[in-house]
Amino acid sequence: MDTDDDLPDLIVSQADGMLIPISHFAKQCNKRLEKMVQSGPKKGQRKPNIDEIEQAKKSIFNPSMFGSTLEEILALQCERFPDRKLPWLQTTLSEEVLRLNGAQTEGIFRVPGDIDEVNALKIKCDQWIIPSDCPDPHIPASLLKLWYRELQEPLIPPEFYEECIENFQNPEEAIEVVNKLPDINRLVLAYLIRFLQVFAAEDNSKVTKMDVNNLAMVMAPNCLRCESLEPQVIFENTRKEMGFIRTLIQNLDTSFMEGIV
Amino acid sequence: MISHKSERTVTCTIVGDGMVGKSQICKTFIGDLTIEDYEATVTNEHSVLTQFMGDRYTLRIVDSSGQHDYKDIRTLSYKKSEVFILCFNLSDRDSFESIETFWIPEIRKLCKKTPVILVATGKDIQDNDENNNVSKEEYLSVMDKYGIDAYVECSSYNKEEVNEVFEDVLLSVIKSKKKRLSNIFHHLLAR
Repeated sequence: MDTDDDLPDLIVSQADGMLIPISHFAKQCNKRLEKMVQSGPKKGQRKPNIDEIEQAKKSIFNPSMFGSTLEEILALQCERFPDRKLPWLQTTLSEEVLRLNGAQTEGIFRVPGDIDEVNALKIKCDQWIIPSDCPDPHIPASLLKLWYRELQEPLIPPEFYEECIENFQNPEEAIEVVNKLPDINRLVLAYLIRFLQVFAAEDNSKVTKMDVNNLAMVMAPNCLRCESLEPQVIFENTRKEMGFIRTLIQNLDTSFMEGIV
Repeated sequence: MISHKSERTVTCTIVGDGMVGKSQICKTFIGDLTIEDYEATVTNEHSVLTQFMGDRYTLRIVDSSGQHDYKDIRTLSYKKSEVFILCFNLSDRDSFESIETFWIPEIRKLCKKTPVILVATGKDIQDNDENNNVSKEEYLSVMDKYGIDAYVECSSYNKEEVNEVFEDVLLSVIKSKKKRLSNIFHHLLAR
C-alpha cells in the first residue's frame, strides 16, 4: 500500500476552495506519529510501521474517538456537546451497558462480545450513533474496554505508573495519586471507578459473579500500561496493577461525580 | 524424588475466551476438588507427573488469561509451549467464533508450527437458544481450515474426558517430534 501518493488528492478535495497551508496537515500528522513512537516499550527508538502511518494519515480528516488522546476527544465533541466534561463515548457506552441489564449479566466485562458486532458498534459510535437494537450488554462492555485500552496515552499517564505500583495496597496514597492526575484524566478515571462500584455492589456481583477482584482484573490493563519488556517485571506488576484498581474501587469516594457528564 | 531417567517435560499452554472453563480443566486433571470459583485467571502454572504409553512425563500446564487485553502477559509463555490447548464452549457461539478471529491469529503470529488441540467444553450443557450451540460440522471445518491436530469434546468436570485432552497433548508432541526427525532424515538422505 502506498501511503504517500493519495495524500495530496485527499487534501485538494477536502480543502477545496480554502487556502490552508499544507504544513498544517503535515504538522497534525507528524504530531500523531511522534506520539505513537513515544508510546510502548521502545520509546522513541523505533520507526513507525505502515499501519501507524496509515492511521496517522487518516486521523487528519477522519478523526476517531478511538486511539486518540482525551484532549483530542473532547475537542472533537466540543461543538456538539459544549457542556460535557466527560467524553460522550465513555458515558454513553457505560449507560448502554446498564440499560441492557449488564449489571445483572453473568461474566459482564469478562466474557467478550461478538467481535463483528463490537466492530460494527465502533464504526457507528464514530458517527455519533448508538443503535437502539443492541442485543447484548457484552457488546458495549467490550467496546468500552477497547476504548480505554486504545487511548493514545494510558488513562493513568506513564509518569504516574510507578507511584500506582508502589501504592497498590495503600488507600490514602492511591487516592493521592488520583488527585494528582491532570483534570481530564482524573474525571474520566473517577467516572470509571464510580461505574465499577455499581457492579461491585453485592446485589449485582452475586449475579454477575464479577466481584471486586474480577472487576479489577479485567479493567487494570485498560487503565495502566507496563512499559517494561522484562517478563518477570510484567508478571509481578500485573498483580499490582490489579491491586491498585481494586483499592480504588473499594476506597475512592466518587460522590463528587454525581451529575457530572 | 520424582525425577526419573526417561522422564521428559512437556509444556502446554491452555487458551480460549473467558469463562469457557480453562482453569476447571486444569483443576480436574490435577485432581483439585475445591468447589468452583469464578476468579478470572491472570496466569497459573501446574506441574503434573503422568505416564503415557509406558513413558513418564512431567506436564507443565500454563493456564492463561482469556481476557483479550492480557495479551502481553499471556504470550510470554507462547514460545516455550510445545502444544496449545485451544478451548471454546459448545453452547457459547461467541467463544467459538473467537477461535478464528482472535486465538488462531494470536498463536500463529508467534508460533507458526506448534500443534494445536481444539477442546470443546460444556459437553453436558446445551443452550436453550438453538443458535448458540455449535455443531460438529462447524468445528470440523475449522479444524480442517487451520490444520488443527486433534479434537476433544469434554465436560470440564469429567476426569476421564479431561484425561483424554492431555493424552492428546502428549500424542501430538510425540508426533510432531517424529515428523521433525523424519524431515531431518529425509533431508540428510536427499543430500
